Amino acid sequence: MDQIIIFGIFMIVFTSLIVILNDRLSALSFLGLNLTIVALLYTESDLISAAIKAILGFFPPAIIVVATRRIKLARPAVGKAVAFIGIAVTVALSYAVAYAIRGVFPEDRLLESYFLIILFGMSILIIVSQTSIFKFLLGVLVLENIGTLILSWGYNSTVLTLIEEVFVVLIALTFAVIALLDFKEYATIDEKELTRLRG
Amino acid sequence: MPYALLAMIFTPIIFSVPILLVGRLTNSKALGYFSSIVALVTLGLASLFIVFYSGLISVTVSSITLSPYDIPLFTFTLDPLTLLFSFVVSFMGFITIWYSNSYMQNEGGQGRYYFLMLLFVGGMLMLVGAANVLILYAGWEIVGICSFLLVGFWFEEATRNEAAKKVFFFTHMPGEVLLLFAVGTYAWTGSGSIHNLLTSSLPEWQTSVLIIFALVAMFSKSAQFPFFSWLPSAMQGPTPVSALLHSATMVNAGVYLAARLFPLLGGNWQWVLAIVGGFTLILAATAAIRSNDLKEVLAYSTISNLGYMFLAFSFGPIGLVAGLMQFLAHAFFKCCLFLGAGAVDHAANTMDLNQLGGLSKRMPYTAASFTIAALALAGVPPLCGFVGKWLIYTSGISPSIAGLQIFVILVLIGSVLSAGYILRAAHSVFYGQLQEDLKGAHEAPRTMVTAQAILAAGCVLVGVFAQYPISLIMQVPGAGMVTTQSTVILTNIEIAGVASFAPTLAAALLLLAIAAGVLLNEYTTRRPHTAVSPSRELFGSGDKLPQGYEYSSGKHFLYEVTQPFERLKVLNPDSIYADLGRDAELASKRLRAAHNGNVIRYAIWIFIWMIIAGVVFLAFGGL
Repeated sequence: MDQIIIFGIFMIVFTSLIVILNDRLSALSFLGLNLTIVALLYTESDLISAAIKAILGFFPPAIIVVATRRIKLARPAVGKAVAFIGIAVTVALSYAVAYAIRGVFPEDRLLESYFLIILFGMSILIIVSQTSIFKFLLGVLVLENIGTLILSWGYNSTVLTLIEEVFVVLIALTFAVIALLDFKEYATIDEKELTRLRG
Repeated sequence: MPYALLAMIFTPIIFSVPILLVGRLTNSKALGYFSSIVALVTLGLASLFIVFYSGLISVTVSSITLSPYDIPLFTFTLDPLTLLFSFVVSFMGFITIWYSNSYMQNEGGQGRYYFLMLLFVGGMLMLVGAANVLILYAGWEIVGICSFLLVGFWFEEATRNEAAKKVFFFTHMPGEVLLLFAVGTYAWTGSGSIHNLLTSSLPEWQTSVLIIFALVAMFSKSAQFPFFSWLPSAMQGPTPVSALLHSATMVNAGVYLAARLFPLLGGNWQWVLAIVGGFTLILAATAAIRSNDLKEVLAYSTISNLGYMFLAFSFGPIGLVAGLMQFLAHAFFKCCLFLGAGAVDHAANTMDLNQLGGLSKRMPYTAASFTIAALALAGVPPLCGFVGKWLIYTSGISPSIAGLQIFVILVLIGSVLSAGYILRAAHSVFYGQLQEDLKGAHEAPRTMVTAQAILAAGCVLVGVFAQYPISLIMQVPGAGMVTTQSTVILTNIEIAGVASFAPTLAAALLLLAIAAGVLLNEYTTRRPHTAVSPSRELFGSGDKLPQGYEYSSGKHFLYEVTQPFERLKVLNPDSIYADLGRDAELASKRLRAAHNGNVIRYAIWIFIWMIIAGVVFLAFGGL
């Protein structure tokens, strides 16, 4: 139980860093989140899934880092102070929602379910508080990690984990290409700017 | 064995991907050869099961437990029904892909074509091998999407595009109710297992709701009334696609679902199947009589034969055997007929029955195969179509619930019409005097001829040795008992639960119907394949008569008696389709402002709806 709490806190910290930091450093935070999940899978003796996650989970942040070296980063939609308040409110609100619906959680996965709801809330925060397409991608990838954790509750789910991770790499690649093309054409990856420039 | 089952289902799906990727780089014939090998391996695996099948095989690849549900994500099973369908799907898949090596050799986009064909086969195998409703639904959708893309293969042409859209709409939209069926099954049985659904004792209203969902899905997929108008449009795709779509995949998905859910379809549901199937078989047969395009005749004939199958299922356990035997027979003769039509198109560059004629002099092998398949469709013994129809008559004479005997009249009329339209088509294309324009026509390439010959041989072998498929079909849950030494000798047949006179009466009625169809057709029509066609000159382009029917002395009987059914053909949702298309266009213009390209805004909307859905879900106490 303590282990779950520690891993859960790590997850919240890493997702909070994604909200606060710029795209490049957020990608590294996301790598931290992935490694936390690898460790969690390892402790649950789901060794193959952990290995798949460790190998393929490295690629999305790497793709983002490589792509962001070629473009000017977008500015966050909100300031740091607002971001901190947003994180605190999101965690509190998510916890409250999780508490309210705890009746539907699997009995043997109660604690994990709380953290998943908080992660879900954080992914929403990541997406709505930013203007960069990469932050949008990271928000989606946090959602994907929720899927990985739910899959680890089943049995014989290794094939699905593999399929999911392969698709995550493809999604990250697609986003990177879109960002590069957008930057080439409009000299920005800021979604608000892009909407205005595209007319 | 479980791994062999997975290999059979996933071999075409997995190998379709490299074909697509390589197809981006090259348009080589090697793509077709490689696809043929993949299809042959799939067929080999299906054949292994036929030979070594000794009992139910189940395999769960992946499962997830979300209390209180245990959701088997990838669960497959192999029982006699799956065995029958998977063999037919893989066999027809191989034959059509092999045939395509010649038929499509000069076309572009071969990678896309073979990718879709293999995925089509794989999707259908997934559908028939599914042990739970979610996988069934996944297979259903894969088959639907592949058919859309294959019908619209030559998407540069607007008419083909429109046809593909129509196919997609008519099969996909009503098919969405299958998703409701899947959700309902999970909600009310606590699992998605089809086996649990069939054995659980749900309240009657819940069973009824599930059956209604399933019926809408199967009628739309199998082009039953009123969802039949899309199937003739599907002819816009390449001919091998039509052959596969009609014989083994797509339209047979509904038949499979009906056979799978057969234990639930008793009582009043038998009347629903009988009315829809019976009406469809007559309506489509009359349309085939009145059509003048070879592929269109075959398309309406498919609808009519699917009607036979649904009608057969309504007759009870023997009807299930009859319907599945008809499915098997239909697969062989229809695939052969379509491949023959493709060969004719290849040689003559037209499908118009008026412009064809006498081609047997130039295409003797194609003519022979086509004729055998046409005779099988008409129900001539000892070919495969005879066995299917004869069992339908037998089960109809002694149905499991009283009153359904009345539908034997429709079967009888259908037999007259089917003998009429298919023999007219065969005669118009291959016999009579060779048309002047066709003097340069030549036999199809060896690959295409061989594919047709194999199928024609299949029509004979399945008919003569029908006891083997029948013994397999009898093991399908709910099926009746039919024992036979050989269908050539009708006296060596025992059928449990039918009146003792039924088999003999059935054979007599069927033979009479065929004779009536042939005679009515022969003696009321003068073939248009005379060197000069006086009536065509007489009536010119504005004639009131359909071109394929030229009067001799008086009126063409079959054409005239089917006239009233022409009006019934408008009883389909085509106008709804047109209205919806117009409304969607209007709505899209108004909603365009909301689509400003800001993906983050889109994501916010998605989250809002997810939260609303979650609240609704919880408010109703979950599933």
